[in-house]
Amino acid sequence: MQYAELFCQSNFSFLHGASRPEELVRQAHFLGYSALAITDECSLAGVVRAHSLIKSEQLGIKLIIGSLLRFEDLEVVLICPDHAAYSELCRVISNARRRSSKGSYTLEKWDLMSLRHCFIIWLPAGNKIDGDWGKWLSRYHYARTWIGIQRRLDNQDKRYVAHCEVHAKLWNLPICAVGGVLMHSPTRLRLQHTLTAISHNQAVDQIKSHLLANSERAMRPKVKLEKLFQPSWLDESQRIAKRCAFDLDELRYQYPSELVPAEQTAMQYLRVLVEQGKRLRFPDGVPKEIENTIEKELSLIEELDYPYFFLTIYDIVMFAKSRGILYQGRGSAANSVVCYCLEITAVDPRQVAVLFERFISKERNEPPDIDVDFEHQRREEVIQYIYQKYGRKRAALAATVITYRFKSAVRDIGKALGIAQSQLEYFIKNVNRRDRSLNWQAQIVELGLEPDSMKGQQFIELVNEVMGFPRHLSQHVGGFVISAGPLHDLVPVENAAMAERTVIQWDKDDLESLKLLKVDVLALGMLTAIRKAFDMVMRHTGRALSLADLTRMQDDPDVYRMIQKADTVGVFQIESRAQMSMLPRLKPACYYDLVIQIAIVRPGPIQGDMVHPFLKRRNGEEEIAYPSDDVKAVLERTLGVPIFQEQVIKLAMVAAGFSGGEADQLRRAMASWKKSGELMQFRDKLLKGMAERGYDSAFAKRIFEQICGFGEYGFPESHSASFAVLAYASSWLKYYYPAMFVTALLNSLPMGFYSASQLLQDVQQHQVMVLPVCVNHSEYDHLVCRYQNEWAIRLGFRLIKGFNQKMAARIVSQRPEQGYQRVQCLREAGIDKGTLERLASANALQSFSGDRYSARWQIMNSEANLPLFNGKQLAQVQHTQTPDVFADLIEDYTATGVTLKKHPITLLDEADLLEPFTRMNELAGKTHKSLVTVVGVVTGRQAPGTAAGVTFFTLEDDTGNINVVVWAGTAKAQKQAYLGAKLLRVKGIVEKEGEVIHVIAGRLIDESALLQGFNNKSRHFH
Amino acid sequence: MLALLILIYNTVYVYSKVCVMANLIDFLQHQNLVWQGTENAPVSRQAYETVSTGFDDLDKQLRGGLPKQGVVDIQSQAGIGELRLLLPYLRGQTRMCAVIHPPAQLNAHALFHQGVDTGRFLVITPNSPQEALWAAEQCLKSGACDSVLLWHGDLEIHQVKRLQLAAQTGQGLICLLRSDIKQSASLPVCLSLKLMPHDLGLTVQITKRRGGWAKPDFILDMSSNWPELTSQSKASKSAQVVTIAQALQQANR
Amino acid sequence: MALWLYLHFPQLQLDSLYHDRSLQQPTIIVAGRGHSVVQLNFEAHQAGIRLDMGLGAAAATCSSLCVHEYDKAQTAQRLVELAQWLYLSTAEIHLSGACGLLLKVSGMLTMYRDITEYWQTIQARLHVQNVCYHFSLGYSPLAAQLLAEAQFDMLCADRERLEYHLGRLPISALALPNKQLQGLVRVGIKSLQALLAIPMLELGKRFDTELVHYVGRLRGKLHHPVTFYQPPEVFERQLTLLYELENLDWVAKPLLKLLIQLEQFLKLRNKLTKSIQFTLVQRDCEALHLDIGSAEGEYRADKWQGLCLLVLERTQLAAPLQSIALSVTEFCEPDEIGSDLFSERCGTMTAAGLVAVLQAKLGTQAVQGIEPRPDARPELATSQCPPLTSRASSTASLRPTPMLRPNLLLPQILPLQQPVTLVHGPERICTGWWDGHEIERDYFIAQDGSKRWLWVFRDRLQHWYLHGVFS
Repeated sequence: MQYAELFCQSNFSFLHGASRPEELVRQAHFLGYSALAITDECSLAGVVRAHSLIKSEQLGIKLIIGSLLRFEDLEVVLICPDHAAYSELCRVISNARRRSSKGSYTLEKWDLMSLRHCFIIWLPAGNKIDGDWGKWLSRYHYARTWIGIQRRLDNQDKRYVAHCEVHAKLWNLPICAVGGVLMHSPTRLRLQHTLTAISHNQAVDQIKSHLLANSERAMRPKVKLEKLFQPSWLDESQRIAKRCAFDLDELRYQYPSELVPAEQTAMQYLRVLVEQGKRLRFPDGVPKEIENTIEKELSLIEELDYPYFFLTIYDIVMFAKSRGILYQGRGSAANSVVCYCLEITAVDPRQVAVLFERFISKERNEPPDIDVDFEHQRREEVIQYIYQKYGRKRAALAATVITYRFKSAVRDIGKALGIAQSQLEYFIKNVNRRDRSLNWQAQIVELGLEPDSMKGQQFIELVNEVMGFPRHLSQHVGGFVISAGPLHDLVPVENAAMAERTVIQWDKDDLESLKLLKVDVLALGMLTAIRKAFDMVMRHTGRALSLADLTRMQDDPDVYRMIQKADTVGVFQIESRAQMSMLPRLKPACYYDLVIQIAIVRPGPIQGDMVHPFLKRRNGEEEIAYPSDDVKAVLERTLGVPIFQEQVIKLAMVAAGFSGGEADQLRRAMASWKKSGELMQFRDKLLKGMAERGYDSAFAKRIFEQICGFGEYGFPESHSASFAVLAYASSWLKYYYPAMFVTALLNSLPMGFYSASQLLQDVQQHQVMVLPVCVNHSEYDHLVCRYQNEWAIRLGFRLIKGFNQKMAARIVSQRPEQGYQRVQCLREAGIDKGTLERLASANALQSFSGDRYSARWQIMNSEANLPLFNGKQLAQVQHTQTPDVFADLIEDYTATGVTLKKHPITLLDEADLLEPFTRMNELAGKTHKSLVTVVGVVTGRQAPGTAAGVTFFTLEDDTGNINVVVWAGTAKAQKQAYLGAKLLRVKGIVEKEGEVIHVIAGRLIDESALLQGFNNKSRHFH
Repeated sequence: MLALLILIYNTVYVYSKVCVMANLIDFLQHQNLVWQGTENAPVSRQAYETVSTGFDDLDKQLRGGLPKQGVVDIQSQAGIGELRLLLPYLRGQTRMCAVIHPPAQLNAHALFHQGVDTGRFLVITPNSPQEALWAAEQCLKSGACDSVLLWHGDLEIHQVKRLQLAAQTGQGLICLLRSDIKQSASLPVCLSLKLMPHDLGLTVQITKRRGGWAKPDFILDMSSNWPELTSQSKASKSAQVVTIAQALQQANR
Repeated sequence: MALWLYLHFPQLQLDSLYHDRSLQQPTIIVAGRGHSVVQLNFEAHQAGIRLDMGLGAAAATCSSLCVHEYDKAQTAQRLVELAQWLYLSTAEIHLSGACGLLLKVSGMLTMYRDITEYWQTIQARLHVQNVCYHFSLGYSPLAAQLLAEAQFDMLCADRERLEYHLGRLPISALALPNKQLQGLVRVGIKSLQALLAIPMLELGKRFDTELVHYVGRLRGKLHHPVTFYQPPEVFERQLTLLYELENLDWVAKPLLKLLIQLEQFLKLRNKLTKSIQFTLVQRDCEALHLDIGSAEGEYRADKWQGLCLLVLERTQLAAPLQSIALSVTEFCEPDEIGSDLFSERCGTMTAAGLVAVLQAKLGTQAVQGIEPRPDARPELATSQCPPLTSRASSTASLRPTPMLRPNLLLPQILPLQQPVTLVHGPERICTGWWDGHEIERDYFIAQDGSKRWLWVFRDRLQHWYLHGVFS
């Protein structure tokens, strides 16, 4: 007997289906079904996963595309026999989805009426209403409609079957057997119940009437189906499946054609543009070998038929250029000379010549990858340009599937099992997912969940089961899909949560599987800052700069000297604590060193234990050896240690004999390793492949370990190369124009690792003067100005929390020549009370109003608003309270987050409240490994996901910052101090690495109480 | 034609104890071809006010239905449909229904799905037959109940009389549900029925009806109310019946 | 100016939860969205936990922590109990907020020798209750409250000293909205002294009336609204019998006497009651407590007497009866009953009245209502409920599609003994994993040899059982 399942919902019918598309396909194949239709409710979000699995595992089962749709009391499954039907289904789903807000849909009768190609499997409701629909369906869709009979073995089962048979006779519709599958196996019934409860937002035992009474909606073996259904019904299903010939691989991307002038082909036009680019990028003529590379690249682009892709991106970046929006391309294809000539990237090929060979690889069959970063504050302009140029019908964002992670799973499953919410929150807060020694189950048991209780077991099982299940579709950060015709012929489109945004129902992996291209339009704060710095340099010195100019000037040794000292606060990528601690060891001295530096300080290489071998080899402490020439070709540039994601993939190919397709799967498995554990299935293949090629098993195992280590965080060389350009450009600016650079950073916040306060302290240590916010000197943005013949920074109103930009403009435009002299003048200029109060809080009225208290006392007087007093000097009652230094300091921090006055540590020290300690600037004088005590305000806390579970604290005193390294063990033992401290005393060991100094924490003491106790005298009487 | 039918009726009436003939009457009555003597009779001639049982056939046989108040005796083995016989009647009530000493747990779920408002039901589990009778009397007397269902064994005449009195006071009806009855003496009840299983539902024997003649057995067709609990036709019957052994073989797991 | 005493109970819930247990385990009570610590015991404090700490931080600080959620109702209840207890010693008590009592001292001093004696009395009463408290006197309710909350804890009636200590309090001690407090701090007013130094007129120009009003009340210049505690009314009567009674039949008369008193009590107040409690004191024996209920609320002595006699019929005396007492603690309004669905009177009684009589005679358990439940497991699809309480709302959640179910279910599932013919099925029910009563059954409609319609099922092990009868 042959059977094809035509009605099966996956977990992309959110909170209803209880199995993944992959599980369903595998099970259907195992049970010997000839075909399986994935028919999620008004969605095709799960079909690509099923499709890819069938392809990659070469399962002999046919996938049918379909969808369950509901309209009033009518339930139908639409399935696609051919491409036309597929486009029709996409259109119907898109229309229904677009009519409704995110996550829901509204079908209209017209949608159903207009069907011409889809097959309709009608699922009668089993009541009187079916009469109307039977008539309607047989009238409009005769010969394409079947009655799908389900056997649920519930109370109504027999009646329902009889009912269906009656209607089949009545309307002369054929009957087919369908399973109505929601689970690949009956064991998922619990999960299905739980999901139902979650969707009703109640506990399972409170919604019992909505639960399935049995597990008959699991996939059933054929033997059982034969007992349940009449043979003719089963045959009919099989016949329908046979008529379905549509394959997702037929989908082809139709590129927008308007980008190409009428008389030219796309390739001709691309060549013209590259020709123009050459003259711009190489004014002195193109070097011979680069000319060759360009030719090689172009012919590859032609061969693989990608010219439209490059033209589309070219069009977008040209728009950005015309608007003066700074951008930078990255990704494997971005680092090509063609992209350099098309101005998609500013990486000078002469500096990174070594990258060319790793351009789009034909044998890997990978679509070209180009992401473009734009200034974060202006990316929206680019997005709007795309929408405007291609219209909403032709451009949409890729989806991101939001899945259950640990926290959401605990919350939802817990609630469905009726566990108290406070207990769940308690679990969530106290489970440390980074703790590798104890998995979360064990930790939850430690936190008081009874592991042997029935609820406890169910909770753990269900949380594990549901993790990774999709919850809803969200929008991808910037991945656009653009097509020539309406997108909804290709894939269903639905509304995103953001108004005026639409997303397709597939995510980036799905697109990749179907070889559809997307254009990534991303946002990057550093680009904003660099552009602003360029502008300021131009304004104040007249020097014009661009990214390409900086790379063309070649490596500047002074800039690299600064980088080697880890003097990189504010610099792109290499400013984090972990990066800074590596800089003096790696001592980058050229562009390619920066590329490595950026990629090496990632959880991937650190977990894969690649950092130390690389350093040793670089310092000549370890011999550089390669097991073979093939491996040498792959690893030579990183001294035999795999650091980039591409190297790992390439290794799998040359050393273990992976095919292009397999290598691509490996790459994707690496990206989703944490989620699905897919990686393990490659282990044997890799080890075996390497053994066959004569590599010793220790080497092979190490390579696999490294692949695992790369996990989620693997960083491709192509991205690193683009980032290194920005890292270099920002370092260059920091070195030559520190005032402009920091001002630009401050004007681009929030971004990067550091707060305004930390950036300002750093720039002050570089002898740049910082001037306070002042109602008579500041503007909204921070300014660069001359002060005592040096470049100085005048802080702007934007530093003041909650400050209104329009009010700032008014203050500046209405400002009298001699400045404002009284609060009343500001009032008359139309400045509202809230703004006045903020100015007072920021002490920006100091020039005429005295301290904050009296400024506020003046502002608060409601008499001043009466017309009687307009223009008159008010008799002020003398206000006697004055803030002390500490109060001022606190107010500085609360109003602006920055103080230019005495540091809290100075104040506490002067008040003699601190026990002896070593100041940060004295640490340089201490010997390596000596014991010290430091005290500082906690300004940063980073816990990168590295193997050892280290936490970095940044402590700040009145002389500088210091990095405190807290090992997991220490942190655990002293959680109390570790968690909430604002002021920390640390006893530990000095560790010096060149000029960089850390303190390895031994004991942490929370001194936060000192900060509070300062002005707040005890209110107790004893 | 009419005259002829009346003639037949009269003839049949004389030999009404002949079962075959009774079936014929049933048939004729079904077709509404027979004029019934009591139909147009003045109300005063009836011994009691009636209320519909919800089964048209039964109503006809009972000349209107169950008594509105009083005592009804139903003799039947448990589980053949004796309670279902009363369900349509119970569904139509507005006051309480007291269920006293049922042989098993009353299933609210079943009542709900048959359209009965379970909120009106009072289930009483007395500790002794005396208490059962006391409770029945209280319920009837109170006027808060439309009906009382009492499962009970043998009863004395005076006990029934008390119940009859109480029923009159509270204008309610009490159904005595009894099986395996040994006593043969007639009780002073308004109506006495004897139920036997039948493929189409029940065979009903009206053993006593106050103010009426004894009547032959008749078949109450319940197939439209509970198609699953009747064997509608011979053909489908054989197809539907499965023995346990067969079911075991058919195990779908 | 009147003198006030304020009692502040900072950890009422903690005190009332555990006072009889020896506390070893660190315990905290948390409240709010962030589950921050609002009460904690000594052990928790020792472990390093502080007030306002988040639950996460607290749990991280101490691993063996006992956590309870703040229970507003319980705290309020406890405060009322304290007021009731103190009412025996002082008349005018105002329940202030969630955890404070304001006592008006002025009027009471005539009853006591001096304030010290008054305080000793109060203290003694509090001591018995075993609660943690802080206190202070004050010449305005607000002043007393602020000092008490600041743990002044001194019996000082000296006006100047009180004012001095009040002045030392930080602004944050005031029960004002945070915005107001910040407004004050932001012009440098950080203590009450600084606040009180500012002329009311200047305050009025810069702050809203709420603040001005507050300061006025604090100074005792403006009226502070208080509502004094009224103990709840109860009916309690006892009757000592002239002769000891051995037979309960004789108790009817004295009983009626009490019930008539109750009737008068209720009539006077236009109230009804739904339950009364009898206490029968027996010689050298535990007293018998009898609860008698009437679902519809009643005041008439004869009605209650009827019910009482039915209950007494079921009651056995262990020893001769010495006295009887009647107490009623809860009352209801006559109009609450008006909406009763079953109030339509046909005979002599309402449905509720009938239920009261039946339950009095047969016991509560013997008279029950039934209610369908939306559980797929047959044995859980019906539940017993108090009579007359099953409502349409409970059935609203049920599936409307009619299902065929047997009218009678066996109280216990029995193994199938007789041969049967399966007529219909299977209907498969596999569910119920969430509460440990998981079933996996195939139900069939079957007929046995004597043509009875049975509901039978087969379990996973292919055993057959009888579950119901289609009566």
